[in-house]
Amino acid sequence: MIELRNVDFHYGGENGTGDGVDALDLTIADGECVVLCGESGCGKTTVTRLINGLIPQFYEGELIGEVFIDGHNVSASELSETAALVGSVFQNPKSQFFNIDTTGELTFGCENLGMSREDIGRRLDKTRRDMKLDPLMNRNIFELSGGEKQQIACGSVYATEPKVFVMDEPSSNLDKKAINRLHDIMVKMKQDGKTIVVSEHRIHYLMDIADRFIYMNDGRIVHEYTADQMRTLTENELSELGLRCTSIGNIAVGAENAVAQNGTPALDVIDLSCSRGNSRILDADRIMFPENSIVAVVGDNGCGKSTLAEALCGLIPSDGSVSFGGTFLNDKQRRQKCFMVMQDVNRQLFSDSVIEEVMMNSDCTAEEADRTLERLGLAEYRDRHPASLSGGQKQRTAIAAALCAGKEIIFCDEPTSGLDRRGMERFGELLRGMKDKVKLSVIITHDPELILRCCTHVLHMERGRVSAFYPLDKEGSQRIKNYFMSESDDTTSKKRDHKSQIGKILEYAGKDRAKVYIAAALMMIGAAASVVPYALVSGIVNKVVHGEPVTLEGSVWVIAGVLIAEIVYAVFYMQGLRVSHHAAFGTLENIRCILQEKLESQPLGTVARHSKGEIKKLFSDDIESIEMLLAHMIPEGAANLFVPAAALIILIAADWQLALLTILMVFIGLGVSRQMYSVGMDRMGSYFASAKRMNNAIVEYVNGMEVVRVFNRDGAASEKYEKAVTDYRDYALDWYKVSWPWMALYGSVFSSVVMYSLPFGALLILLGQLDISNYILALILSFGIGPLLLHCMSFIGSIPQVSFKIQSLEKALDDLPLKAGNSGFTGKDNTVTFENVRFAYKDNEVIKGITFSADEGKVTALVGHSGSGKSTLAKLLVHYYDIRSGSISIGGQDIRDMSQDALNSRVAYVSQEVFLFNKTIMENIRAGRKGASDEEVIEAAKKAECDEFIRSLPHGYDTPAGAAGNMLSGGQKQRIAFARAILKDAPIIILDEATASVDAENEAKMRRAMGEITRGKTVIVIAHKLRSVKNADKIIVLDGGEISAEGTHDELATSSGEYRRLWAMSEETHEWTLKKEVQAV
Amino acid sequence: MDFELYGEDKNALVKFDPRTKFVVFAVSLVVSANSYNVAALVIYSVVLCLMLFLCGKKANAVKAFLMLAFAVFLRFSMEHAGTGAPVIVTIVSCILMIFLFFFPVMLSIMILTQTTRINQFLSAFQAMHLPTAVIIPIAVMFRFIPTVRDEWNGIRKAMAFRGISLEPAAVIRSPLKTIEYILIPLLFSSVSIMEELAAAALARGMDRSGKRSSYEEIKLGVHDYAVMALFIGAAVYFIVVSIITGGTAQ
Amino acid sequence: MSKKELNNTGAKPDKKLRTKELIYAGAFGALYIVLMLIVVLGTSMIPILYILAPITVGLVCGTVYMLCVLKVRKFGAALILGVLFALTACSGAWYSIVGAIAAALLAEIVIMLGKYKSKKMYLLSFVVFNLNMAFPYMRLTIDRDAFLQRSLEFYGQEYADGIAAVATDWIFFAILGFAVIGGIIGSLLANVLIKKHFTKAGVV
Repeated sequence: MIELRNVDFHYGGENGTGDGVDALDLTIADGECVVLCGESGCGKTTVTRLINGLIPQFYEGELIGEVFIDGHNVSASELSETAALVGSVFQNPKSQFFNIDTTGELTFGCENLGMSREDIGRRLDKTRRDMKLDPLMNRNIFELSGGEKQQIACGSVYATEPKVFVMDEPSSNLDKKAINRLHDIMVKMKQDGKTIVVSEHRIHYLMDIADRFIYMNDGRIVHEYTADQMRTLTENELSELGLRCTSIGNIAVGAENAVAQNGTPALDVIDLSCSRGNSRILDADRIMFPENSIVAVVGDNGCGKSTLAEALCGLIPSDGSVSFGGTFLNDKQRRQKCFMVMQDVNRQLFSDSVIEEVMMNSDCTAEEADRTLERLGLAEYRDRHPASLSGGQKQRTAIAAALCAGKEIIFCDEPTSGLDRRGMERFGELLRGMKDKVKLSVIITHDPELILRCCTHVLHMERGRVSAFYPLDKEGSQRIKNYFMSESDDTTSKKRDHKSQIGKILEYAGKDRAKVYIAAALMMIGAAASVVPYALVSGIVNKVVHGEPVTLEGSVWVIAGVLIAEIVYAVFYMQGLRVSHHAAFGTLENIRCILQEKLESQPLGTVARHSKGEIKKLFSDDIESIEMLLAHMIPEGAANLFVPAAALIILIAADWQLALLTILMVFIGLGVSRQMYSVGMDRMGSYFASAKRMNNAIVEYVNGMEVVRVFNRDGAASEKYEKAVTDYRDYALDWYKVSWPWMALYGSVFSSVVMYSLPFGALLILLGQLDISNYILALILSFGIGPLLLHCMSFIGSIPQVSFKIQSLEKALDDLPLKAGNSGFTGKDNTVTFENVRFAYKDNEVIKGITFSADEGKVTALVGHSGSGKSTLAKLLVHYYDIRSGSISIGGQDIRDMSQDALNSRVAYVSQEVFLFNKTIMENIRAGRKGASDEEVIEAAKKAECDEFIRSLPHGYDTPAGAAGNMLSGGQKQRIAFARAILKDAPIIILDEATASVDAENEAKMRRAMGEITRGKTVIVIAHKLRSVKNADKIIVLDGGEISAEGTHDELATSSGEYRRLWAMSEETHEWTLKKEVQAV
Repeated sequence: MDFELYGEDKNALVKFDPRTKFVVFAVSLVVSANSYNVAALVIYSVVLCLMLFLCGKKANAVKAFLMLAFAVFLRFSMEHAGTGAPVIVTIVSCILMIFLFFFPVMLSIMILTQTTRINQFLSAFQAMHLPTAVIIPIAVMFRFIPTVRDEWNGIRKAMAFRGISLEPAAVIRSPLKTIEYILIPLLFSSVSIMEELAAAALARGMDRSGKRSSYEEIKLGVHDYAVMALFIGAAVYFIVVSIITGGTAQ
Repeated sequence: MSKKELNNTGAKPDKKLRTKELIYAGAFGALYIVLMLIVVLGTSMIPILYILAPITVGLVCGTVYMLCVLKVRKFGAALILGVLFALTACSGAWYSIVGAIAAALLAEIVIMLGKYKSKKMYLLSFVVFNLNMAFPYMRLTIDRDAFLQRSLEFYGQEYADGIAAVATDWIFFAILGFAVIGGIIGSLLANVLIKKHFTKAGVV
């Protein structure tokens, strides 16, 4: 039990500010969770410090009164004694931890308390299990995200098993996911019966944990609320108290934020990408920021928001192009036009007074500066030192500096993380006031209140890519609210990948790795053998130079040696090449298999999003192009490195000066080629991006030729094609142009070692330093190694290329895998239930909270205009995509729990487009259920009314479908699809516009076929022709992604205007005949 | 500049106690100062490479060994050839000598820092009964260095916006101003971080007067004693030889 | 309701270094060393600047040192800085380590003489402290003698003479002189900066 008895405290000591708390009388029972809330400076943090003993042991000042925890006088005891009772978690994740590794940090508290090793081990285990810290064990704390660091902080305190947990604004630097985790941790603590005291601004996540809310103002406790009372406080009351919202759903949307759309975008981003080390962390295709807008950038920690902001500002190097108001600018120019207010404002304040800070390095006059300070409410702090201001004031100082410097674009990184309501409101007002003075404001934030209050657009980022960009109108506001309220996935930051590029490639080689080494060894022997002839020949030349006669007999051995050496070279080198090609193809096989697995695990929707051309290119062309490089690069590279090295060693033995000179020249040459490649690497990203665009344009052009010709759009299409090709040419030339000077330099100056050894050697001979025979040996050796070195150079360049390609391959298929479970079907029946489902596709939210159920054995129809979401709903049922929030279940079991197989065996999907495999018709129908016998297939075909026309085909059921496909009409193909569905006999059937391509004659047949299929099953029909679903058991009318009405035909005909409209339109088209039209005219 | 302070011994074939590595380091200092015999020095260096290999940093050990071999070979050829312009000979032999003499020390520092975790260091210090007044600052220093690096990066970026350039030309023109611009934000943010750090550490009981236990187990094993004996023996050998031979080279 | 005044300003100060101050000293040590390394490694490209390092480092690190001792105001702050410096920069030669620590100790004594209050004594203490920058170079000088010995055996007299001409005895004293100059400039700068910023902001 915690007691504060008439406590009075004011900060004193050397840095005292005189603030504090007065007349505090507070009792907190065991196991209670108390939340201290109030505006900034009200004294909440002081109370937490009183409880955990930091006051008065750490923070000096005048203390009157006492604080007791279970009878133990905290104020009078040593901090270390209190630490055994109270565990503290602080606001800033970065500065709380004492160790560099996570395990050490978790055991830190226990070690301080002198516990035994076994004890610590046991507690460590318990903490790990209770807090689900497995992915975070044994890692470098500096690599963790803010939320993960806070988790470790909680864990460290949890391990000491204190009775009381004290937390000071623990959520202020956390994103949505981390706040959820923090919430779960606190729930666990409460379950364990611990007392929790939290001082917080963001109280919405505490609503279901807190027992009491204690509102403080100006150092005194003013009022106490229970959780229920808190929930009933209206927005106005909260605003008066200065408290943030109690539930995200209640946040009021700010005044209609005018959304200016047209004209040149203030910021236009094309193909922006950034890499850190060997991996790409940002990959944005196209973003257009409208002028005078305030854009909120949201996303989980580690998704690349800060990287995007820094790349846009020109702070970090990046590929791609960014234009401000139409003009393309490079890094340096962007830096001049932008300003970023960083999260750690301390890093940005350089001067000793606010006015100085604002005027520094800019052209504005003192009057202008004063005016700006006025506008921002800082006029009275004009001469104060910036470091003595509060957090919010420091931020405003930074913004004032930006405004005075005349910056056009302002970026803010988490500006409101520690601010209370007033601070946040003031900041929002500031932004809105600035809206017309700066071209664009970009705010990276986790704060939904700020976003809804003042932002005009939202940019949503996920794993380095842009996943949506939408304006904050009414729909957008709802969407962003849902984002903040929804559950989050459980991904954690990955251990930084320190593997080198070669290491990565070898990893893909898998079991073929041994072959790579063997190949390298063989080639080394071969290459070594290739140098031997030179050494032998030098012996002969030596003799000649010394005037000795050269005879055939004498040279026989030399000639024999040369011959043998050449043979050895040829044989071993070729063998080596053979083995290395084996290894290369093996590696390619592995890469293809891994990519295929990745492809399989992704939602169908994502796969469908990639054009066929793209996937084909990935799997055949791109991977193929790696082969050549792989086969030659590693083994030859190794050989070509090793042999010159060996030769150099011999050279050193011969004459070390010459050798050193050679080494020096080789190193300079290496430096030159490295420079060439690093310069080229910058351009490489853009080059590959333009190659990709060109490929897409070509495929599009060819595919669309039919349509293009018919509609005479030749001009526009070929223009696009031409532009893509010329773009590619430009980028390629750009790349080469940058590399050429270096290549020329290298080729002319460095490729020939002899160029140096010849004159220098001659000099040495003249000086009497060098012996001629050694000189000849040296010269000839350098002839031998010259070509090898050149070979080597080119291969060093291909390593980054291969690595880049592999990375692009991985990235292309890197979307989130489908959230499918592993269990079979365990639902109790075949009722399909959609529960508050939300789904967005790119920038549009297509399904906005839909709830309905399709009962077992009944027919449910979905009707609505095109684009109202009917097909999407059907596709979501078969888990074509992952939904954003809500759930879809069959018989009570969520489809995300089921494995793909289980789900697919429950649902049959018949759509308009029928895909026929390149097999016989029998096989095609059998695709509905593997292992069905021929009789069953024919039975199904009969029921689907396609038996007749199949028998009329040239080979009947054994006609290859490819040939037949051209002969079959749409309706006939449709009936084959029905046959498949009948054969499958799944309990749930989805008919997606199945009768669309049917002519009237066959319609009767189709109707009979449909009757067959739907007997006794749960049916979901999507139809335009309302007449065909008139007798459905339940009709659901969709409008713009929401359900507008539900009921039977008769009910809807009377109650729903929308339905009547749809019915009328459908009837009109049904009865539409040429004659009538003519009559009307 | 990347201070890779997170040395690890996950791949170690043999795990040595940090105290053993300290002993190795001290011996290397002694050997460097006292050896006149290049051959013995080389043998000692090879043994160090082997130790680095055993401690887990195999790639580095191989690289170090190759460099050593190259240096020895070069020196040998130089001596053998006996030719060369005096200037070049002086420069090259100077470089080689410095390399050979500092090699043991550099390598033992590598063994010490790259294969030991910080926690092991601290436990070793405690086991060696160093006073807490020494252990805590060292621990904090290790932990604070990456923070300083982060702050420094952030400040650099902030300076870019304010038009404060770090190019040598600008620095030379007004060195004092540049120093002020770098130091002030760095010191302010560091002071605020260290205060929070101290508060958090103390609130978790760091100030306790009793003994602090350690989860990390530091025990001297047989291999440790063996290695220590070997190295101390080598040190004694070197000192004795240098005294006896009085500096005559072999 | 007893009235308890704990840790009030004006109460008898605690002379021993508490954990809080040890942490501060360690953190400032990290700052000092990182800045020193940046300066040294950054300027060592130009050989002349390498010799002048005591001046450049003194200039930059003076403020760090001053802030540290002013924040801690107890015996041991400068000593800890000195020990950390010695361990990182002077490892390799025991005499360098001893020298650096001795410099730090002297600085502590200077501060103590000023009873932890006199501004002038603090400034003077940095001049003394900066002498520690000279000790890494000491190794070169002392080892150079041994080096000479060995080279004598290997390459003969002329070579040894050549080296001897370059490495003179007085270079060490020159470096010490640089250290003193650096200390003076550094502490003057530190004084200005601390008054301008840190006192104004209330940190110290």
